[in-house]
Amino acid sequence: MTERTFSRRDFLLTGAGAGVALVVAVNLPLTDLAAEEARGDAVVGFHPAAWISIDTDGIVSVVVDEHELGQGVLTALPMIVAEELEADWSKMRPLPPPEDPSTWVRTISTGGSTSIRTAWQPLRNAAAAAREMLRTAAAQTWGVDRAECVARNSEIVHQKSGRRLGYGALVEAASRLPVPAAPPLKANKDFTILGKPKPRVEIREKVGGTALYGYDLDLPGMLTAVVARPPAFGAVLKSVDDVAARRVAGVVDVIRIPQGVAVVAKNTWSALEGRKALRLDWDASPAKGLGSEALFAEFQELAKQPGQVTRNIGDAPAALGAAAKVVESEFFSPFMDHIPMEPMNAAALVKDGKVEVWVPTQIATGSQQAAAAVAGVKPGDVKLHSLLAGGAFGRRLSPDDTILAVEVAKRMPGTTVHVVWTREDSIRNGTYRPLTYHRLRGGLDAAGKPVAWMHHVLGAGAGGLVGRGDEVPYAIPNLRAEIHTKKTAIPVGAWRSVHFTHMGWVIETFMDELAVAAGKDPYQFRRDALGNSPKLLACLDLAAEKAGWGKPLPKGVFRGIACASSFASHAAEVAEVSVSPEGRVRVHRVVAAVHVGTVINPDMLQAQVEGAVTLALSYTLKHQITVEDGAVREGNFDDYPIMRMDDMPPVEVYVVPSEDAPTGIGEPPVPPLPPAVCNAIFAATGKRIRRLPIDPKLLRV
Amino acid sequence: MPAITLMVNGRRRTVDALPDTPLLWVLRDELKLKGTKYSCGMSECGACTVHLDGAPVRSCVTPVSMAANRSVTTIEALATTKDARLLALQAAWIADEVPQCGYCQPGMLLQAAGLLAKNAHPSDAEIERWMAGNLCRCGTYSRIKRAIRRAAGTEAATQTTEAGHD
Ligand code: FES
Ligand code: FES
Repeated sequence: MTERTFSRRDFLLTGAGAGVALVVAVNLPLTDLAAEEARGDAVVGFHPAAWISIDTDGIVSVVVDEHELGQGVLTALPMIVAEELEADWSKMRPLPPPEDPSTWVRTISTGGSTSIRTAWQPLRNAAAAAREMLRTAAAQTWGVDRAECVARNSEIVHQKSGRRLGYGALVEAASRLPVPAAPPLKANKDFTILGKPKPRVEIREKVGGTALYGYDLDLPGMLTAVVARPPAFGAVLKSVDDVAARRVAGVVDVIRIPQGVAVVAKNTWSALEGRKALRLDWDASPAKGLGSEALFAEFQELAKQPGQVTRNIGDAPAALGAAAKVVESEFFSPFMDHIPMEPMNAAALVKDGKVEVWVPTQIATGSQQAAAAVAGVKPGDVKLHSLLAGGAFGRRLSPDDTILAVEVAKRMPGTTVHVVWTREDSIRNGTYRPLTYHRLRGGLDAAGKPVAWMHHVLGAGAGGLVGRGDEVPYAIPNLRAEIHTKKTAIPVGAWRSVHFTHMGWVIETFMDELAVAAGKDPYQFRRDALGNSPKLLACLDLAAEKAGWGKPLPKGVFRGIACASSFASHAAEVAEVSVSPEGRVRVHRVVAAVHVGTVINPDMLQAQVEGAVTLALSYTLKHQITVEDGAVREGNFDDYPIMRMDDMPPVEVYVVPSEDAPTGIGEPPVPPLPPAVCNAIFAATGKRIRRLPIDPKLLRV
Repeated sequence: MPAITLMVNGRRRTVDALPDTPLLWVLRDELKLKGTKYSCGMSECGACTVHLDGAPVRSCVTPVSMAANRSVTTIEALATTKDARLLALQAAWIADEVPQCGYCQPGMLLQAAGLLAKNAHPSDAEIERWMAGNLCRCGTYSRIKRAIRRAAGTEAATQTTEAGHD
């Protein structure tokens, strides 16, 4: 990827709208994140751009070209600006990603827990530059030394005389000044906004029923469509009988598209009833034999042969041969769907060579490009309205929602068509976290130190999604990771914390096995091997301390511990678990400690950890996608269950204090949770969980 | 199509709909009340919860004919309601910073209002049992529980980040 920067590097005096405004361009250099976040098939960038403008009534607008998915970015980025600008929080106005793609200065895509990490420095620099210019403008207005002028709460105050001028009144003068190249930045100890809880800016809409999501779209003349999709991946449509469907009241048209058959209607219920009345004949024979169990069996066999080596330190096979003790294990991790509460949907209008798209996406740029490709127009001819999303978790990084909408809309030029997916459509046409199989071998020396580690991962998807086996945070002198990937007709994609969803579980469960083999305490065993990872070690220590590691527990309750570094952040978790004689696992308490550098909004950080733990408990205990002959067996919350209120343990969240630049929190608390629970189950029962979700039958006594 | 009359948020509304059309789609598509959400369509998640004569129901599996001549309350009622319970819940939802994506929250609020109408001071176990059919993928359960306690006046207005054992 080439480096792109905001072209308007200087402050601009604009005469638009309300009049004069001080517009601060934010210069956003690309970082080396691209490589880090290569997401297999769908490589996308994660580079927020934003610009800040202060108008003459003192309102500070911040363009947040990241998608608000519930994680709070619409609040967090303006907080960074307000802090450095010394702005009154009530004057801040975050703006969602602009609709006109020609104003986008970079890829708009939200993932990889990068929103804050990449915006931090550029936003601070821009806001600090604006603050300094406002100070200079005030000093010049008053004819005083600028050193005597301080910025505070959207005003410049001349301390000696007590004179003050609001930012709005200074905008015009400030906008004529040169931009300071390296404005001073505030020290963490002087922060008044960052590190303090701030309610999300859209909270009123979200508790008043007025927040409108993609599914709620209502445009004049808009029609609603549902698409009958193949019953199995790769199934081919042989014939369509739509006579009965067309007779359903409200059905307007039935249209064949490459992905299936769309029923377009005046409202959702008519579309659904129309689809029910379709008689479709599919040939599912190409999907025969494609399934989860078949893949596991194939991978188990393949694991006997060497894979592609992705990391090789020392001589792991030799060290294994010389080890005093060897542990061997295998792990099975299924496909998973993201299942955000708002099912997939998108609307499109194709007219006169132009396309308009409305979609609750986390990847505006990818959606725009996909729409252009499907409609056969230039990306510049696509206008993209990014709508509020009812959760995403990586699912909306794939623009298949947009593609489906444009496929239908381009066959009905001039009509806006909203293609909505039912829950079943969404679950059965997902972009799943790939199924993986893992084979591990570890060696301990006579003193019980881990000296060899070999991990072979085999997965049904590209490497960025499967993982590389090199995510081990421990200092192990001989380590070899091998990978084997297989592309199948089952679509895969990024799931909250991507490959760490399974890598965290596998590595940390195996680490526990090594600790047991070494006769060491699992916490101490990890401590001893974390010499090169001081931040992760700090999390581990904090979690252990807060959980009371080693202290007595109520009868029948056992602890497990795990940790992982991912997406530049660090997290350790302790789970307290009991297992009933019937094999029912109950998690009583989760203690999480995270290291994310400087905390932006502690309340939202806590919410993100609570959410990540809930999501991780769901895939540890409850759900999986099972493919049989190319068909997804699950379809709704009844057979793809998630945590409920009465299943949820209390989650305690602790933060390792740090003044480092902030990193992300959306994904990093996910990976340690499954192994913490599974390790606690081992402590309780002596049984190792080798396959998720946990099968209670295997834990029955 | 037959005309069906219902009282929605205090207003008499007449719609043309097949009698077995789920109330959810009548509210959303005909009456343009988009605050009531669709997520599962089979009574598994609670996103579509509304009140029918004051009690929570899943509108995705409630045929509109069942609501004929009855009173339906949706989340949009919050804008004008004088119902102290609903307003207290909404205020608590804000105080406890409950929503993440927010998609499940209209259903959560109406489900919770149904609880407080029957039981002004529910215990934690009663809250969990009553709310267990309402799913939140973002994981806001502990905050919902806290907000219900706050609205019921059974919780001191503090952030309880260090919850104890259950
Ligand atoms: S949409 Fe009605 S219960 Fe889920
Ligand atoms: S807040 Fe997102 S589903 Fe509940």
